[in-house]
Amino acid sequence: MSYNGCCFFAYNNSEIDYVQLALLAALYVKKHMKNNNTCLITSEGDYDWLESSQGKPLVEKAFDEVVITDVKQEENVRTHYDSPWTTFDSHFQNSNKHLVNEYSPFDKTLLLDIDYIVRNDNLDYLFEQEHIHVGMYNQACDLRGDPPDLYEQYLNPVGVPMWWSTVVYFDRSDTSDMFFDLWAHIQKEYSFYKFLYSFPGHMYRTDYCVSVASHLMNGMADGDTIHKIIDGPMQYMDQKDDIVEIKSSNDWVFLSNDRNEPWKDIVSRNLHQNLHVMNKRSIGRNFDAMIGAVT
Amino acid sequence: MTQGYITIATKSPGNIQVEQAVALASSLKLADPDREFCLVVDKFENVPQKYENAFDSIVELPYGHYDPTEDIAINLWQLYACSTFEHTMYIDRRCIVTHNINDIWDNIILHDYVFSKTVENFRGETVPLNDKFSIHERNDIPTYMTDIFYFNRSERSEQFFKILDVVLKEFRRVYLKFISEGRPGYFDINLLINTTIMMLGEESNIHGHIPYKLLSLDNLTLDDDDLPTEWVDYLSSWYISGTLKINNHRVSGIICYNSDAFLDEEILDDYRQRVKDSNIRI
Repeated sequence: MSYNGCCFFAYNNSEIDYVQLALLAALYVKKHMKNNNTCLITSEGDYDWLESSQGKPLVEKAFDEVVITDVKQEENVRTHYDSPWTTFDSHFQNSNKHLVNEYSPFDKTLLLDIDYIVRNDNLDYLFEQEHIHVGMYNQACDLRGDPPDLYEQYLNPVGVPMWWSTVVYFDRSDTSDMFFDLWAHIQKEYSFYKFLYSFPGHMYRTDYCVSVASHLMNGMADGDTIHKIIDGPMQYMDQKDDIVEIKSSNDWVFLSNDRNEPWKDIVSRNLHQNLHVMNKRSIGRNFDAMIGAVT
Repeated sequence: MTQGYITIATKSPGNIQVEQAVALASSLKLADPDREFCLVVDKFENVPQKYENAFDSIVELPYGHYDPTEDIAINLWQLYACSTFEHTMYIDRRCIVTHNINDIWDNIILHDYVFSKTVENFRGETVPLNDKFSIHERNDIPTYMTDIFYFNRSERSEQFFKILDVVLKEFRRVYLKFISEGRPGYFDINLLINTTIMMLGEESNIHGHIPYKLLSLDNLTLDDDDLPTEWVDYLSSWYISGTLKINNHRVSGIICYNSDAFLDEEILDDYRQRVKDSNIRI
């Protein structure tokens, strides 16, 4: 019997309480998945803060394992939206995400971003398929079911397809070792790969690393060495959307913003879908209701 | 039952058409050495001697070269008479094949003729060709792909080519009768083959599929309004020893490159040399 579970990276900054979000995400895993052991990967200071802010009993309920990694982080400044009208910058720390295969205590691991909220058991199948060594989403859609911007579908409009590092499944195999070695290599030679694959922006983005790694491991074509998660496309709540109401752990109501006419929103009810909740401040505003639905 | 490939070429500046046919035939000799390749030309003299051994057979158009358009495709109706095979796959000369395609043959020989309904872009995605078929759609003409198709020796196939004969020779009158919206002033072989399919009432009776990749800007979603007409002026391509990469994406299978600007001396020489090195007897 293998020891399976989900890992969460969380390092706080001055704007976002990432460990609080990780706690919430872990409790949703506990509620909805069968492979629901959880592991928090964080720094000592952030873990102390989590225990003092949320209370030790709740933290112990959310996490089975804690890995303390006080590594020096390369900071990444990212501009976040909270609705179309408010932006803020935060120092986003993701430079050791590729080390998850070293940190993870599990035989089979599902690495989840702390803003990816599990609301069904669809991802459990990954742990049951021996032929799947590494799996990720390579398609996404917003609350309306529309695909994201062209630059979120491909590394550039005529480039290779985007894979999302929001959810990464991996086992203990040569294939997964190769995948993480490649990820580390691409991170190290980021400028070269940025030039070769023509992806945009100045921020280090793990989505680009896993996209290039998947492309290489799939034989520079549309292959299946890297598994495309079939609970897809990965649905996301845009940073410009907002949460209106948490009816239960898997019944939420949103305001979905129109990208072309940002003064317009439509109400969108979302049932039983796993969801990448990209507006992190909206989670903060609804934290009590969200946590109340799973405790 | 003989199975083989056929394409058509004619005299052209720099012999580009024959050279494209040589590259196609050579790629097929490497990918599928068991099936023969027949080149159809208007005149034997249009094939330089150095290229003759690239083909298993070279056939002159049996009914002569009808040429009011400068597009050799106007003679495609003669393929049925030209082909020496019982099962023939026509492949446009501006194609190369990188892998054995036995599995495709297994499927298509179950039918009398096969045109593909869809085609993939260089990333392997099936994306509608909006520009290519805009006239078709406005006039309720079918939208089959015609760069590559299959036919056998049967009454149904023969009938198809007989009607195609009339349609191609009288293409302006066919346009007048069937194309009321956006009628083109030029010879469009795809539109005319699809019109033939419609005239025969075969729109829904064509089954089977020949998967191939069409290199084009028409089957990509782009955010650029200032696009060149040729994909080679927009996308980067690398060719090394039979492996083709477009924008760092490996492209394989049957590839229709669909441009006279793609094939260069380096690619052609590589294909010819690799056929020579592999000791394939033609």
